[in-house]
Amino acid sequence: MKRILLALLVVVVLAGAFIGCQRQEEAETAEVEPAAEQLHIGIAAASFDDKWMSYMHEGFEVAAEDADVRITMVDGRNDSSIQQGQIDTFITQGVDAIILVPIQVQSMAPILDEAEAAGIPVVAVNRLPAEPELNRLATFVGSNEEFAGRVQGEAIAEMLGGEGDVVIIWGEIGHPAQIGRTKGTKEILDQYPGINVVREDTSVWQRANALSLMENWIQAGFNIDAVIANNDESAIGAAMALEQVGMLEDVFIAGVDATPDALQFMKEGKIDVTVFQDAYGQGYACIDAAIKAVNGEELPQITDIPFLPVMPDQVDEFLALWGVE
Amino acid sequence: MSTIASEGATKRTFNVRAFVNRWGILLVLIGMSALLAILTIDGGQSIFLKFRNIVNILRQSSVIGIIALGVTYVIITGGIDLSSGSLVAMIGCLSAIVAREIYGLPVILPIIVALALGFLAGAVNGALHAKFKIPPFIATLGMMVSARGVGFLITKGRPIDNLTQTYQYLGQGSILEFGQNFFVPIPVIIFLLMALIAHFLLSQTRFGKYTYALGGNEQAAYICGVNVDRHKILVYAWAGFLTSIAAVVLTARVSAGQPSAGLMYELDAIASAVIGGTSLQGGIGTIGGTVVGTLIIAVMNNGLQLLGVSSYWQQILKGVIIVTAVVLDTMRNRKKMGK
Repeated sequence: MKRILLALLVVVVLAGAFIGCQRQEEAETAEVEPAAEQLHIGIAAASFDDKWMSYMHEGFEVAAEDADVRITMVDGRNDSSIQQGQIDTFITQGVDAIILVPIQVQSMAPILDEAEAAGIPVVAVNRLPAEPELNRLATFVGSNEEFAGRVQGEAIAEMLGGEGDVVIIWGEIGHPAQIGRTKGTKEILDQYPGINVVREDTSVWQRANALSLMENWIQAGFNIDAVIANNDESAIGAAMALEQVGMLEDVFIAGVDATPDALQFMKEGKIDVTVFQDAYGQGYACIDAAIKAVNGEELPQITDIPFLPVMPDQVDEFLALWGVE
Repeated sequence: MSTIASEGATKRTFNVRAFVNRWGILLVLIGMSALLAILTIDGGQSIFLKFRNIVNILRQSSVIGIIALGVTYVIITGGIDLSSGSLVAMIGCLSAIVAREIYGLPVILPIIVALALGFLAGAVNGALHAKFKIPPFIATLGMMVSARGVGFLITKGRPIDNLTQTYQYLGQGSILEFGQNFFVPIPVIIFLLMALIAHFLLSQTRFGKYTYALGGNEQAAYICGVNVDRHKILVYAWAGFLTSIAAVVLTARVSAGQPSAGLMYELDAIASAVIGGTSLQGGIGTIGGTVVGTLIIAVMNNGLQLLGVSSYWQQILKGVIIVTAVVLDTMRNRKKMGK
């Protein structure tokens, strides 16, 4: 038993060292070499472990190179107290501007207090803060969640010819994306008297939950002409449940995110529309906004990076974006 | 109340109480099902009782159910396992990586990888608790957080898909098929099989007796010659092993290993065990109870969704049922002690 424990310990330590090394590499690559008189922008990322976010980080890096500014990007590891400490470090380093991917929009106030005291402009991206914090930002760069919902609603309404029964699968209840996307979808569907939202329920963004939910709805026996899901994983779950009972052909399905998996499903004709949130575009726009803020230029309260609808004929184009052939 | 006055009634009430104590939770399941069967009658036929719906319920409960079997053992020893959900994600991802079509490996390999990993992770939980004297809440909390991280690390945050057909069959296939009308899904078979094994181990073997002994009185178990540390490690490893089976079933079911899968599954598994009469104080619990507890949660989810009850209410009701089950359990125990 002792020997087994020892072996386990060794494995754990090795794994830790391995992870540590990787971190270091990432930290190094994130630093762009400084030159004299360059603007220095500190970027507090939410997490380096998120595939989608990695495209935003790429946007930061390319924009920094194009504009010839120096950036330092740090990983907040999805922990707002770590992020808080990183902001302190940025301020001590005397960066010219801060780009913040808020980990918790509710705990942004102290970060803004400190940056304001040091006279450093803050650009927040992706996660929309509430009014009081929003007003204190140089600008917010992001995509309007309601717009994504509207894109879904419009596409499905057109496919249905303005008539039919729709179910909506929510993400995590209370999440800004769940609220915004659902609201946008309903705004559009409400304009069609022939379209009824017959059921709505949550999958907490999870494929497995959406699969069970859809199974139960199918079983309940009411008519379903289309499924509008707050995210692609839920759309995939719904598609799997419908396929299982041979109903996939008769039901239109909409998702959001344009993940590689969803695009694959779309390619196979199982999902009919999804919406792409432009991570790279958000990252790129942040650097531009930060430079303008340092130069004292006026910026809009919200810099909108539009969602792009993805239809089946564009699948390959978007798959290539993810590096999938 | 005076004992003399109630003497005459004692015999009869005792029997009713014993009956309710033994079968109470099953009665709740039957009562709930009957109610839902009536509420979902549509055009002279109950939707709830349709064969496909029953199969759906069983299939939907199989992943949590398999996890809950192991969690029952852990809780009976007086411990707790918070790592199940994250382990499902981590093990599912690793297993999926091995099960990818491009490698074309035989299906047994991703299964072995999963089972070995589950056993090992569980053993680490147990060892942290037994050898380093860390409370199981903390030891498994650590595992919960780390395993989730490992899942994201190895997948870079995206689902691992394109799994071999044979692997997917484990989650999506079924046997005894007679057209659309009769079939038994593989996950349900696996759940029933593991439940039988878990029941046998717990009720008929020394392994099971030690498990109860640990939860009843660890000191006494030690004095009676039970190798307490070793047994604890084995119990957690067994729970990890069962979790890994659940991970394979889930991964195969949704055709992808996902680092974000299994969110909060540990709580559903613990709730299933507790609703089924497993006492968080340790020493008490049965596999039969846990299976019924799992089914109660699944039946409730299914029924409320069939009826189109708002998901806010679904959550509230789920919470109420869990708390009610524990309150009944404590009241029952207090009465026993009062005697």
